Amino acid sequence: MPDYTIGIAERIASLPDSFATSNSVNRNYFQETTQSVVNTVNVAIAPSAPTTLDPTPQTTYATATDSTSIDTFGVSETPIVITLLATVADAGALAQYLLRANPAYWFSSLRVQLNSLSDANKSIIANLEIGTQIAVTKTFPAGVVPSTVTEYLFVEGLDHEITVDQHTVTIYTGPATTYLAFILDTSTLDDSTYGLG
Amino acid sequence: MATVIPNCGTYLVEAYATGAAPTNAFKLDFSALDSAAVLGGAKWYDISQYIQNISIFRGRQNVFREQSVTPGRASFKIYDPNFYFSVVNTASPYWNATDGRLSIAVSTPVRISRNGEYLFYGQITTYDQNIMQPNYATVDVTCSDEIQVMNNIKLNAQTTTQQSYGDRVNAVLDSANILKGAGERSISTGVSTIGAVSIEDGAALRDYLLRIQNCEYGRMFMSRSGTFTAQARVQAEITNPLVTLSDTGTGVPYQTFDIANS
Repeated sequence: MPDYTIGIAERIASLPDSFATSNSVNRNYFQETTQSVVNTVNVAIAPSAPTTLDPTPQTTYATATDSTSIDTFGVSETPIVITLLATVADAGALAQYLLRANPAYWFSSLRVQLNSLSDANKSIIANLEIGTQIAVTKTFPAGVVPSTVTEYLFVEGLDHEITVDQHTVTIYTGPATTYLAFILDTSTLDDSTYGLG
Repeated sequence: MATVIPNCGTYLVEAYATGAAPTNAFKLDFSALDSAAVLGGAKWYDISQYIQNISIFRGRQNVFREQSVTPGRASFKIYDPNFYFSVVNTASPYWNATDGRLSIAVSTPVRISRNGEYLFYGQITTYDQNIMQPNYATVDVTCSDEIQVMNNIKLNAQTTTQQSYGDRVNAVLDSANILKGAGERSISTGVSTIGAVSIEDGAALRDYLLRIQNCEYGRMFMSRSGTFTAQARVQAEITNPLVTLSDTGTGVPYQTFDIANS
């Protein structure tokens, strides 16, 4: 499990106003990155409004780190991102969520042509919605281990190309963590593949 | 007239326009009640028969590299041999004599469906007519969903209270006075709590939603049928895929795929 630490006001930043406007030091958005690993995430909570006694309130933020990932890949850190979150605990939970300790790979950009599918499958694919859980299975030739890989994924984007003679759907996915429903007196105890819904 | 694409389905492209006055328009103190006379006004026009090549994209390609709250897009080409979609043709069935302009234009609502299920619901954002030789026209149309409109909606200065992610999203949409009809929102409670931070005057609605989204890191999008959807951050869930895409001969076959990475 990654380490999880919360540092409060360890760094001070000036805020132009009480609405957490971004500046060159602190942003209020997450810069999407091409980095495969993010092992130190800093998330600030909503700042208090400036007052006469405190015209530049400090930024209060939480940091989540994964020390194993840092040892392996070096530090890959986000800037302090100012959010509208209410509490440091919320910021810590989000920072923890945003950690990507290891590079992740998954099946995506799956192109499916409706023409050759059964009517039922045509409707399923055409009517897919963002956020839906799907499974993708890929087989590999002899000598590749494992010979079959199945991934459980979420639909994150959908592209439809409709021409006079075909309809092609491209499904963009994101990784999902799934588990099997634990059934009393049936499922194995202490098996992480089972969980309560 | 809906278009049938062999082995794919029946497709409908509709535009919500006022168009020409009906020939059997109901006239006050003249038309008989319960007659065949109808009221004018905007209605959904089926323009499928003129449409060539539709592209639709909603959502994002990589969850780690692209922001949510991105407008969905659609584009299509209108083949127009009769100049019905010409911006100067006063005889067009889509010509609105009251306004003195073609009623299919920028901001006209558009919906695209297959076998009665919507694939896209939005409005026209660009409308480019091209006159071709010997003498016909095409129109390149692009559309965006409601999230695009949110760029242009400004919020008034207001205070807020500490709220759940879902409550704040609902509150800010209420404040903007949009998406208040039945079925126009599908908003989850989320796991994050948003602080009581004032909203500055003139803040763009979409920017503010993006900031709420950055607190939750879930998904915000317009559904294929036009429902504004805000989902909580992805959590582990029971394995229950709607469909299995597979190259094993069972499930739904796919033609190509890529390996994505974070």
